[in-house]
Amino acid sequence: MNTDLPGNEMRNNKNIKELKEELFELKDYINDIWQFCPMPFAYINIFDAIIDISDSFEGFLGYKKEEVIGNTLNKYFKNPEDLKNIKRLTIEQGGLRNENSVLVNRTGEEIYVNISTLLRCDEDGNSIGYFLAFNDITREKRAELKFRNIFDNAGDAIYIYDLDGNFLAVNKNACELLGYTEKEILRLRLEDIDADHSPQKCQRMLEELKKSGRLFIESEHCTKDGKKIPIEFSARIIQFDDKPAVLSIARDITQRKKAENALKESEMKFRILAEESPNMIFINQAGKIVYVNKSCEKMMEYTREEFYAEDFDFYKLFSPESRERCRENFERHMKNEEVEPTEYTLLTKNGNKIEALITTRLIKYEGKDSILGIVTDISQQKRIEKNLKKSYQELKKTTSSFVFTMAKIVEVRDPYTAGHQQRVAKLAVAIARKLGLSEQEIDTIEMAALIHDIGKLYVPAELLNRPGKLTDTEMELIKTHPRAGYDIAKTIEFPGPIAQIILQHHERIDGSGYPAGLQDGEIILAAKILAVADVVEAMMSHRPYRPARTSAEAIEEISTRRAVYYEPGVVDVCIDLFRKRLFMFN
Amino acid sequence: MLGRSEFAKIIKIEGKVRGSALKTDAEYVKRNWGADGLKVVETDFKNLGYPIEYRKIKDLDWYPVCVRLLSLLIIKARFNLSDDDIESMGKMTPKFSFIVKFIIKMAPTLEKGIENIPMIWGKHYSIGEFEVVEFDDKDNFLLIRLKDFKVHPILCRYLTGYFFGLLQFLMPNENVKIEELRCMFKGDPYHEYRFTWK
Repeated sequence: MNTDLPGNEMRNNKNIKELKEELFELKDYINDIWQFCPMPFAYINIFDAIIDISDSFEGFLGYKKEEVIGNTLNKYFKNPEDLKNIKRLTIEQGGLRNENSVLVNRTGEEIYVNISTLLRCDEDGNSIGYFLAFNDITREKRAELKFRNIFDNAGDAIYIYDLDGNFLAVNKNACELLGYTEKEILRLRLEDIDADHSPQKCQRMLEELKKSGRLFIESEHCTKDGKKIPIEFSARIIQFDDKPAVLSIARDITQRKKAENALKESEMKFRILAEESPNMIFINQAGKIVYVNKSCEKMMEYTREEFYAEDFDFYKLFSPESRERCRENFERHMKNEEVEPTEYTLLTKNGNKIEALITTRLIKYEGKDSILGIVTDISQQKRIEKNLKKSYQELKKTTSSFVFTMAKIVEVRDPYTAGHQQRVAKLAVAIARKLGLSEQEIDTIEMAALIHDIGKLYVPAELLNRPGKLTDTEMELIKTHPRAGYDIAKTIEFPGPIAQIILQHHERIDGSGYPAGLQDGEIILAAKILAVADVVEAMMSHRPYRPARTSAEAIEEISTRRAVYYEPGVVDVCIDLFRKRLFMFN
Repeated sequence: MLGRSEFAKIIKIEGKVRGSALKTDAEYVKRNWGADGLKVVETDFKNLGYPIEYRKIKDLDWYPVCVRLLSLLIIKARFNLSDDDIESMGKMTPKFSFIVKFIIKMAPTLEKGIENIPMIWGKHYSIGEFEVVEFDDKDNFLLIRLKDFKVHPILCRYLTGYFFGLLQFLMPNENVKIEELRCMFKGDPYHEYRFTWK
């Protein structure tokens, strides 16, 4: 009916209006999505032109809409081939999920993305374009790259394998260590790189790992060319791609093993040297013995077990008189002070004494401060020394008797000088002692003094005993006595320069003496002492040609000639002895 | 600024334009001078006694073609734009046109895309006849013609950019060049544009 037509028209018009409104609502709704969706997305037509981008895409790559729309998306891909593949796959499959790629933003920074696409077709089924949604995974990717970087550049070989021993990931060092490519290793199993190629061994290791969660062992790897490499191997269970796996870190310890072997060899050499040393060698750590060599066992009569026993008292190895010295020296060592080699008396287990010279040093032993001691048995040396001393005393006694006899011979021929040599000897010894000379030097001076006028044997007795003044010729004859005495004494092997003292006892430091007219530096000290003692005693004794002088006169004489004839130090000591009544002639 | 007599002439021009075309002007102003820039343009409209609020313009509604022209002239004068700027504005227009994008993305082939261009014109303007004279994909050549569209010379440069923007959607990887061979304001019977690309 016609009547329906206007109504239908109205309905149709109303429908068109409603449809238009709905279309606008839908457009606004779509617009809202394009504007507010935080995930960047774009629509690309089949010619690769960007038809539209979401507002978030602007912030995502830093380009404005007007710069991007109408352009090809290729230019924003680091590798333009990626987009070609994405397009191809999108057309083939109708869309993609999470395809990885890298975009480059306005500042040239790489943006890692997961791309999902959805193909659009026209009503005839022809592809007309596709949506691309970009999930920015830069942060995760950088973290992954950082990890990968660390993983690849780690100094050790790192492997990740599943609990059946199939490799899942390896780093560059692992490839370098084993001589395989990464792809090759990923086709291998754990036993393929084990030096024994033993699946059972690897299985045991995996079982142990499953139980304890971690493992640390030394083992050997086998390289692609069959070389065995010693490694230090740590492993622990981790989650890898949401599955339990083993993270293993292997360190090539070839160099360390070589060094260890070299050290062992070196240690062995030194241990043999120490063990076989005839000297006793010990190491003391905080009062406890931690090492003794064979000689210690043999000489001290203790076994090593006894030495090393917890309750072993180190200081009982020393005689009571040596113990305190040993303690003091050890304490000085601990304060880093130098300690000279020291003599001790050691006591063996059976109570025998050993005279020992011990050289000690502060060392590090097993990481701790310790004292290394090297013991030299000087018992025999000490015995020899003792015997020598005894022989020396006997010889000295014999020599003294001989010297005394010789002195007597002189005095028999010259009664006025009877006792002169003994008295000179006494004064000379007193001066020498006061000057701080050694006992040996004092002995020499004493013996020289006792026979200093022995040369007078060659001077006619009537000349020696005649009262009155001597002629020059007679005086010259008298002056020969030091040389004559020297000639006699030099034929006898005295312990000291006795002949020389006799020869120089009339020399004066100004060169006015005889027989050689020596000067200060050329005259030995013993002769200078003898010269002073001789003149003092002579002045204080009666002579055929003059009466005895007093000690004051004698002192006056040597004081006047101090530093002219006589050594000043010797004169001062001599004066001091008389003034303080420290010395008197009988 | 636009003189009264010129304004009087312009408002007498017959024909309609889709709101979508006007909204792209607003987008161009906002992107370059912000919302304040757009307010200034709207004030200029108001001062001419022809108040327009861009936000109230609807994409699919028809408006007098004089609004299209006034919009361009006011923006050019207000922001002191050169002819090159006007061409750039034309290039940007398809990028923000809902209708252009809607139609252009439906093309499964380049040929179909070229065929759709007259439809795009028809969807925007009630006057002027748009024709694809020759398209040679092998020789990279396209000749289009616009008849019965003698509105204002400013539109010649604007449309040069506009057609370039349209074609960019169809051949984004090509180095496209456009040239206005004939112009009604130069005494030619129609406007004619030639596109070449490498």
